[in-house]
Amino acid sequence: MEQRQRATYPPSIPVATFHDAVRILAHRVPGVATVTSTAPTLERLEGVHEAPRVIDAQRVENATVARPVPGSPAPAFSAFLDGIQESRVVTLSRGIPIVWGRVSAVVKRRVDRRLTTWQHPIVECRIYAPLSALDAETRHSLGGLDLVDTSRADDDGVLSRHPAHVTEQALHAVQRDRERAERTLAEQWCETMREPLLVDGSISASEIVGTHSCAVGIVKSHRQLYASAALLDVILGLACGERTPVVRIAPRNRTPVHSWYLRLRDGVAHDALWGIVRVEVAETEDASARADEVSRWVLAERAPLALPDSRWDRMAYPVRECEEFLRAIS
Amino acid sequence: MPEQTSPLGRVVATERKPNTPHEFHFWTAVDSPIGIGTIVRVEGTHAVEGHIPRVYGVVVEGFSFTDLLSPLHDVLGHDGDPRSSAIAPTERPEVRLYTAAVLRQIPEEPLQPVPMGEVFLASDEDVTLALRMDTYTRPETRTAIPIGLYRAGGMDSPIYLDADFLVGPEAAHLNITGVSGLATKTSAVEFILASLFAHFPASKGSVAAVCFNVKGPDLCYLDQPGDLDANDLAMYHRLAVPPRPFDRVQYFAPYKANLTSLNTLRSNEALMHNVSPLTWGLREVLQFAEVLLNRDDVDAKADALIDFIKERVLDREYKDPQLLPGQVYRVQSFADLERWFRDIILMLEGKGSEGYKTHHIATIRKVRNRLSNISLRCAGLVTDDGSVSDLPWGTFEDRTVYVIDVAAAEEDAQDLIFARIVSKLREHLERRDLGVSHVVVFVDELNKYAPADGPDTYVRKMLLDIAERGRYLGLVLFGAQQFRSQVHRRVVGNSGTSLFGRMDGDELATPGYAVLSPATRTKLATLAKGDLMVRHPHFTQPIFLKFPRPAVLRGRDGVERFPQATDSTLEASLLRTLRQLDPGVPLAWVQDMVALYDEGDLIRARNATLQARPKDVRGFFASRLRTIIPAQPAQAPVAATPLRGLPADDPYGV
Repeated sequence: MEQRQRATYPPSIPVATFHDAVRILAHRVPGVATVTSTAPTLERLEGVHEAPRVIDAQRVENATVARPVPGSPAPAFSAFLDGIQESRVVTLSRGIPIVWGRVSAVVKRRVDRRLTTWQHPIVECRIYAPLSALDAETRHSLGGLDLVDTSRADDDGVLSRHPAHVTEQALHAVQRDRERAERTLAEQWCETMREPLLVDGSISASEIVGTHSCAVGIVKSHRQLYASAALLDVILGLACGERTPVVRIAPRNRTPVHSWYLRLRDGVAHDALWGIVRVEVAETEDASARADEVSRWVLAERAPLALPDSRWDRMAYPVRECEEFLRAIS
Repeated sequence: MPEQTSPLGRVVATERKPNTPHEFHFWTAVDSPIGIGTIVRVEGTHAVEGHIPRVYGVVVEGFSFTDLLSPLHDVLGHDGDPRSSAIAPTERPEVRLYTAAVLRQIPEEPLQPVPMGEVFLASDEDVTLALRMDTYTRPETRTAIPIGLYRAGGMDSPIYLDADFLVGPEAAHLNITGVSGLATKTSAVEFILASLFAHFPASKGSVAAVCFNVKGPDLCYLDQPGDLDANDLAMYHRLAVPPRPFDRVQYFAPYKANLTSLNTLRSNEALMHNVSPLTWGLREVLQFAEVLLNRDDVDAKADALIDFIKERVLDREYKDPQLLPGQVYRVQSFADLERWFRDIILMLEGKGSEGYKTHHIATIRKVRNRLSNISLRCAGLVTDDGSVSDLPWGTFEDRTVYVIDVAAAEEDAQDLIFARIVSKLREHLERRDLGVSHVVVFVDELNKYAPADGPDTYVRKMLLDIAERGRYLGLVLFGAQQFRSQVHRRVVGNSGTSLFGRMDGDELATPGYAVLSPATRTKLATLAKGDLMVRHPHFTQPIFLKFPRPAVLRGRDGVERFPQATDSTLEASLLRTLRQLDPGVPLAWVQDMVALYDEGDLIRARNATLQARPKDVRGFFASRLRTIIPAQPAQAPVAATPLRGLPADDPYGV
């Protein structure tokens, strides 16, 4: 669950851009070292990825072989949801990084093959800092800013001042904010529109979304594989247009969903997971038929290619456009 | 404040592609009605010195692109099969990015780069402001001459030229370029003349047009109505130009070499009422001998002899008691001049002399040869007998078109006609006694008459003179050509207004068009009939517009509707000519005349009658012929009185 605490300094001063944050902090906390804007974002830092894992999942379809998706690909998604995040160290207070972060999310609705923005995208910018590790003067100078305290109750006094630990905690906080923004839009869509929505990422974080028949989650990252030993062979041996049997995924503190792996493109001459996505839908009685239907929808999104994005083998083009849109407005 | 409609685009600027005070960039939706030549308005967002800047621009370049980095990505996305594009459920977003050249900024100071802001399609009022037409379309000081409609995004905005910059005195002249056969050059000039006649303000004086028809039947039916469709009529209505042919047109054409009929395609009897012959005698020609005699012919010595003839011989009594005793000359025609030359040469040969009044006999022979030749080279235009039928110098009428049909005339005759008429126009305008205060001279094929290179002919010098000095006199040149780059740069450079129809690609590749953007050049190369690009001193950028078909009969249609009269006999020619003046002239009378008199006498009498236009046509015509004593029956011989008989007692009788 969320561990962040909002600072209690109303009204908050906007830090809409990284430069806003640098300027304001340089003014308020004189003598601290500011960081140049050319420094890489925290998302690009090494060592922040989770370790690869294989998690056993409960089989829903009683099979251990790949299943060709029957029928022709048929586009059915009415909308696409994605979010992005960006975080940077703004300044250092006695060596402790203070992070600026921005998250945004948008739903792009497809009408007549063109994508338009549905309602209003969410864009939020905040300062992320471990208040308990800062001195009183710095804490005071941060007053009035839209601040997220990244301190953890279980941190010991030394670890809480470790710069890498601080930035990692800030990055997780930014990530949570991004997921919350995505979840907000997804829930709004499910409650009002009820048309097929492709969500970039998992839908299990929200009970509303994870149980709604209109939401389909597409997971491109496979650091965690939901498979038994037998299913792992099936995943790795998927041919283009084939899917794995449906499994039930029930992470802790999340909504259980049905899921399966689907290969969008021929992976010959690429790594084993190239062109494979994991699809999530709400649990349903007729899991096989639902998996085939949604697989046809997903396969239909292979064109146009999402190039030049490096994840084009797994990414639906409208999702790329969501990201481009958010980069443009953020 | 212009009417605020929905914005069509937004101004954008990047570090690589920044906006400047004279150029800006904006993007639009894919389906926006923006194109090359569209006029747009930018509304700034931040006030400068208390004013929100407003910028007008004309689109000069367009770009379209997607988020693809390489065409290969699209090929891969469609598996190399173009037909598979239809199955893609999502279209790639396409960017439409335009570059516009600034027409005007309001306020004009401080002149700053174009600000970010919303872009709107220009309204009528915007177009007026953008092209600075507001200064001459105010009712109290209106000098606006409508030239066509600016059409974009459903707009139909009239475009006006400023009369002060079209016919002087601020600037003058109009030049039009376009490939042949697309009904652009001649049609545009016909419409502009109609518009000029309809809108030229009375306060600026009077205006007439002299048009040289140098090819085909293009200008032969200016007084006949042409076919206009509803679209044309709507354009005429919008431009407030009457959709009818010219009310007053006078045609002039030289005779054919046989002198019996006029050398024009407008020879149908139904149209001859306003066609007059154009004939000149020695006096008229000698003033412009330089046109017909090239520099190799007319050296200083020959020039001196010609001057001598003009000053001492022509139109005056010439006697030389010492060298030409008993001879009295009054040289008024080529025939008279020939007799003068012949007598002098015979006299010199008889005496073995080599010079006459300082002129060497060789020079005399050469000048005699060249001048005598003129009447042959310009047969039909130049008369041996000195009879003259000319334009109505001094009585030119307001809003009247005078067409000189030289299409079928020989090249020398064309040059002579052009040089003399333009010179006379200039003389009369300088003296302010032409009858009108402004004359538009329309000359097609400037490539030929004022070439950029080639010999410095009299005609070219004359055109340069008009181009450079004409606006002060009210002498305005409307010139047309296919290749502007091949016309003398001072002629086109002095033209205040330039029109461009569809252009040839090779012509557009010449340096003169480098100032135009590639997209504008491409549009010029593909212009439709009736579309023009116009440059005018008030417009800071070229503007595309559309003009209606002229309300006159097209040349090709006119030739079909009014077939050319066949070459007639002298009898038919006389009858037709005299009946123009008096429809009651009987055929039998003409037949009698033809039977009684020589052809030359009859032609001279006809020319004189046409020139005089008397009330009593038959009487005047007859009076110009030699008197013939009517034959009388021979009387019976008077019987000789018989000699008286000899007396019988005559002592001398035998």
